Amino acid sequence: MKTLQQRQADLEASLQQYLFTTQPHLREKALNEVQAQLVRPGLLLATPQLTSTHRLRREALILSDAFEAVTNGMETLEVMEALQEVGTGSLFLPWKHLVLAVHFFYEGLDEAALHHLDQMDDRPPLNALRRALEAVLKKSPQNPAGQALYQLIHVPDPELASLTQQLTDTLESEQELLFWSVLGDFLEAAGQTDEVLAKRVALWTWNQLEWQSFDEAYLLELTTQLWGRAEAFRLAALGSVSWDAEGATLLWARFVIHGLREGALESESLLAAFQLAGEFLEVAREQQGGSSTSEWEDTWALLAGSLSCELALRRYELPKLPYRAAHLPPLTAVRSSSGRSGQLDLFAS
Amino acid sequence: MTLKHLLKELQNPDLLQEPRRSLLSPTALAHTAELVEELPQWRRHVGPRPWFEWLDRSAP
Repeated sequence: MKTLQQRQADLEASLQQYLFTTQPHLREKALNEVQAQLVRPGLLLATPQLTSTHRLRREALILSDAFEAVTNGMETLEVMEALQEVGTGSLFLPWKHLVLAVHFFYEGLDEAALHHLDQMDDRPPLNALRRALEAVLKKSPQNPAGQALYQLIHVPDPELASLTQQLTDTLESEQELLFWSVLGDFLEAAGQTDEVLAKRVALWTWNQLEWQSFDEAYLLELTTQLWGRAEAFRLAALGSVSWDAEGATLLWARFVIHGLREGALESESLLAAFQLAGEFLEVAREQQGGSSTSEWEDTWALLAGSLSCELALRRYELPKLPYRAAHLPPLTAVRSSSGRSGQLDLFAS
Repeated sequence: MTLKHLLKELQNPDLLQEPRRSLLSPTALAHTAELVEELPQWRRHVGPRPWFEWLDRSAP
């Protein structure tokens, strides 16, 4: 393994060749050799050959700052925007994609991270890091490079580890109030860095309520405080449908209503949410086997009516799409002078 | 739509098209053991040093 000093010396020799040779193929060869020594973008900043305004020096500074920022979580708009200066043909293009891949890796957006890794060429030294990070993202435990990188960049969070342990302990020992308190701390701490993972934990908690008779209202309130009422209802519906399809159907209807009120559901999302409401209803009917309670029917009717009103207020005309031919009748039938029974017609099978 | 079909989509929302994908995302952590094993291994920013260390070891 070369030392950094050796790399610096080799890099300067190649840079000298690049700057003072006029023959294009020799310049290209020298530039490739410079790239092969670049294990840090900042190495170029220490070379005496580059003037302070030279493009390579400017790009080295941009990448050096950006890589530090994405790995220590201190990204600023200026640092990330400066990456736009690094374009096609730049020596630092692979570094730019690596920086963006690392940024998305920490954001938990694995697909975007993999996309940027795919944009990197297969030249050393970055190709090895590209493959290792890809293995980490794809959770390939058999990949030794991925494992080695993971060991270095993975630092268990002691606070989160403690909260996780408390969460499982209080769940097992049925200490309900303590459990909700710990969950609140946990979601708040987790949500600051990874909202998706925090929501996965909220869904996990909904799953636990299948066998643990804790008060669901606590969880609903907790998630409402964190993400708003519509999102809380959406997560509740998704997390409970496996063990209470009827309840989940009502929760989904509430999600659509609050999504409309909060402005979170428009056009295509609204159509999809509305279609899913129908699908939840089918699932509920399947689970009921024709024996739903009148209380459930009343609640559904109430929600269906509210939803219809919310849609009518906003002048949405949903029946234009599959809804006409599907099991949900046109929304024009929603408002009925016969009151609740008329509203029920909206979702009649 | 059956419960089985819906649950299958909920387990793999990433396979769906938008906007259905967003509406059915994310997935729940599968079980308690996953919570204990995965969450303390949170992705924490560690700074550039470990990344460079790995690159130093692996570069030709």
